[in-house]
Amino acid sequence: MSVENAPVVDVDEAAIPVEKKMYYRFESNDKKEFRVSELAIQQSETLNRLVEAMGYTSEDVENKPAIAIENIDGKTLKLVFQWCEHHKGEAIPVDDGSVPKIVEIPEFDAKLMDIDNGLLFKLIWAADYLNIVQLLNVSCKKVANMAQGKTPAQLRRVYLLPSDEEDEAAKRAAQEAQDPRAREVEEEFEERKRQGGNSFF
Amino acid sequence: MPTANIKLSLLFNAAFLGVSWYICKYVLPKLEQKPKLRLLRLPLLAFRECILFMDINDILNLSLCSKYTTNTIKLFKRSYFKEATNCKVQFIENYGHLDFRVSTSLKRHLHSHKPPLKLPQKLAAQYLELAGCREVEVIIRDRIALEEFASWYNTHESLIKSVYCFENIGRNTTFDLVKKFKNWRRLVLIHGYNEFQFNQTNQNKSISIIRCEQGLLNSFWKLPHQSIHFSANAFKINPFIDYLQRWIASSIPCTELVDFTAEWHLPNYFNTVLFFNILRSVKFEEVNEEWIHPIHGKIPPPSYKIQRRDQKKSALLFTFDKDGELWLGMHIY
Repeated sequence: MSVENAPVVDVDEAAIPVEKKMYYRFESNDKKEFRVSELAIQQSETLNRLVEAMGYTSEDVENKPAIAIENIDGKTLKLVFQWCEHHKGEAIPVDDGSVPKIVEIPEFDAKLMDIDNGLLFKLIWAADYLNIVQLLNVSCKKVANMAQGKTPAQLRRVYLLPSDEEDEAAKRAAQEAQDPRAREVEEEFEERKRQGGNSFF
Repeated sequence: MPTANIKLSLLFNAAFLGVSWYICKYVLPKLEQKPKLRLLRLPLLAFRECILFMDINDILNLSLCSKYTTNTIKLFKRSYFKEATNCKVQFIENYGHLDFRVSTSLKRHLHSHKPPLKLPQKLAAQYLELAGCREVEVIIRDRIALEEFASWYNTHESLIKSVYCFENIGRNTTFDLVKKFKNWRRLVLIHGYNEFQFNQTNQNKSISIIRCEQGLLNSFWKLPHQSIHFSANAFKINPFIDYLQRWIASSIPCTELVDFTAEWHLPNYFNTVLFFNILRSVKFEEVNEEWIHPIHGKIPPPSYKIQRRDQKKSALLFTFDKDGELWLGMHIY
């Protein structure tokens, strides 16, 4: 049968089921609201499980209050959802155990993470909390890159690492704050040791 | 007019100094106070990820920051240093670098061979500490390399339990090589097909001859040792006989020897030609009584009593059972 002779069928476009995209609403701890697509949410294992457990319909999403994310502020959450929207539909990477890990930071992610270290720190916390594997990978990669070619002294400044003396002082302070009696016992023990006593009791 | 100029210039100077002081005091510190990233405050998983993304040199530098960072990174050694924990580390160059060769399993494809790591000496010591690697394999090509390694080893000897040396230095003697290491605990020297082990525990020095060719290096006898052991491979050939004959002939200056053992590979050694080779030149007395050795316990007859020519020491040659295998022993008194 030729193409010209093929039967013509009228198609009622309205009859074709169109998959409606569902946008969930989330609220940060400073009461900022975000609308995130269902596909983007799949990047976060925590949120994905949460919405699955809630079983919201399209009406529920609109009518019920926004899902509160208590631990993350609006500025950080905005970055997180921007990242999720950009990477929606992408496969979640599986750790192959290679060391050192090899991850490329895409241009979009590099621009997104062109932020101050305080916000980057919050972004990593958020990625960890929401279990967004790839976001955690790229943000940690950025942190690891900060160490490149630096001496221990420079690293201490970059990562605010306390020295041994500072660690000791903090430990002592914590001990004293926790149990003053324990400190007294320890001092008494040290005193007895200095005096040459073999046994504390 | 000049007075007015001077006044004006002073005023400008004062204003300039004032502005500079303000900038230094208030503006610059604010510019420098960029928020830092508190690495140790990251969640554990994220911290681990950061470590895994780092290059080995950066990790080692990070671990040098404080005891806390050292200990924290040690926690991850199973993942990061997994391949290195059982490897032998090779000291190849004398340009301030240690090369790490990770032994690859046979299952791996040939092309997956990783190039050796090159680390400065300071970081190499840190690497060994983090990886818990306790065996160092050394390839020494010249005297300078030997001295470099020995000086490195003598500083960090607490990290290393044993050293493997491949000695290919023509004019260097075993004695020259070993005396470079101040506090060696276990030194395995491989010289051609020969393999010697030198052990030192609480000043008790011992030598194990694992395998060797027909002759031993002359300098070997100069090494102070309280015990010597010949493996089955070394036993069946001349070095064992050489050593025993030298001891009897008093040409071995070492009089500290108290323990002598050899793994016996023949069922009845006392009736072999080799044994007669040892004894033909010395007087010996057959002892047909059972006696008790301080370490090896009851010794069945026969034993052979021999004496050094210098009359300083006597010995009893005997056989004993060691974990189901027959060994030759010499009790020196």
